[in-house]
Amino acid sequence: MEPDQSRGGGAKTPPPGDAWTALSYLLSGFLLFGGIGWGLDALLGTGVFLPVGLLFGGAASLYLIYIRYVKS
Amino acid sequence: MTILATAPTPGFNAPGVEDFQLPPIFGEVTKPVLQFVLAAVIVYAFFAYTSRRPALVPSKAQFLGESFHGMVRNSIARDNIGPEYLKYVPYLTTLFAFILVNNLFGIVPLIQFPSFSHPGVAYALAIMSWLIYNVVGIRRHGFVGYMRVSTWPPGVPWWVRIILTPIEFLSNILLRPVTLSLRLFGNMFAGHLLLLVFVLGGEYMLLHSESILLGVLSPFAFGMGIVFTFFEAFIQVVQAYVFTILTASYIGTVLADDH
Repeated sequence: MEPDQSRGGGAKTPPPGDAWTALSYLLSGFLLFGGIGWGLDALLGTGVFLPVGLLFGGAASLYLIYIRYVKS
Repeated sequence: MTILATAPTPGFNAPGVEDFQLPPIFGEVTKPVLQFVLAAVIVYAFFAYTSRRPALVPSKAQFLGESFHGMVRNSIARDNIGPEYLKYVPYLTTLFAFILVNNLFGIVPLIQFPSFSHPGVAYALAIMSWLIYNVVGIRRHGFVGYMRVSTWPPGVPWWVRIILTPIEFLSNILLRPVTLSLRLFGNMFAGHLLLLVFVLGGEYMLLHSESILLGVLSPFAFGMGIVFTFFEAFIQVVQAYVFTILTASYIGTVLADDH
């Protein structure tokens, strides 16, 4: 997404709704990969995939927020 | 949990979910149902009254209505949607007014119940916003193009997309209506519960407690109830604003061109 001049009144100030949208990315990352990790743990009887999945999901969503809001 | 909550225990029974299950007034109609009808009537009456005789030099009522409309148009719609914002202003204005009135019912004397403290009705509103931004996106980009805009992070290698695209799909398509409605419901539910704790707690301390000390201290509980009523007023306005601004933001995101 290009920083649109017409949104937020200029490229410098992001539209006020973006902060909450970013939060939803973070939630999704934890939920998706944490969920996958939890499922793997339940299938294999281990306990290591849930924390790994949570960390990985958190990192991935932070990277996604970086791509969506900072880099572009 | 349920056994603990329903068993009649001596002492103070903390308010809980059961305080939100109001009995029907007649048929299947409960108090929140009437509040929704009342809110719709109030919103309609407000805008009908304030715009009944539009003049170049506005009356006080017209000024009030136009200020409200102008605030939604400029700071919510235009800043979040972009050049095509005008088409969405009516929906956003009505949405904001309707949620605001329903939320304020939580502290209006004699009503004092926030209509959106039941998650079902919050879902209904969120589904409407969800349908609108998805339909707008699909009409703008086509179905494949819309999926690409909302789940295809630009400028990353393909193996990163394998990781990020599911997150985006989950966040943008599936979770948005859920977070939208749960945020509204949760704030209204928790706020009302907080007021119940202070007021019912104060009532218990004053009237039902054996201890004189608690009776003497009960004004503080009522005082906190009043303080938090003002705090709730603030939260209720903020939540109506947030719901509207997020709807606008979602519409803006699906309208933006992906490069």
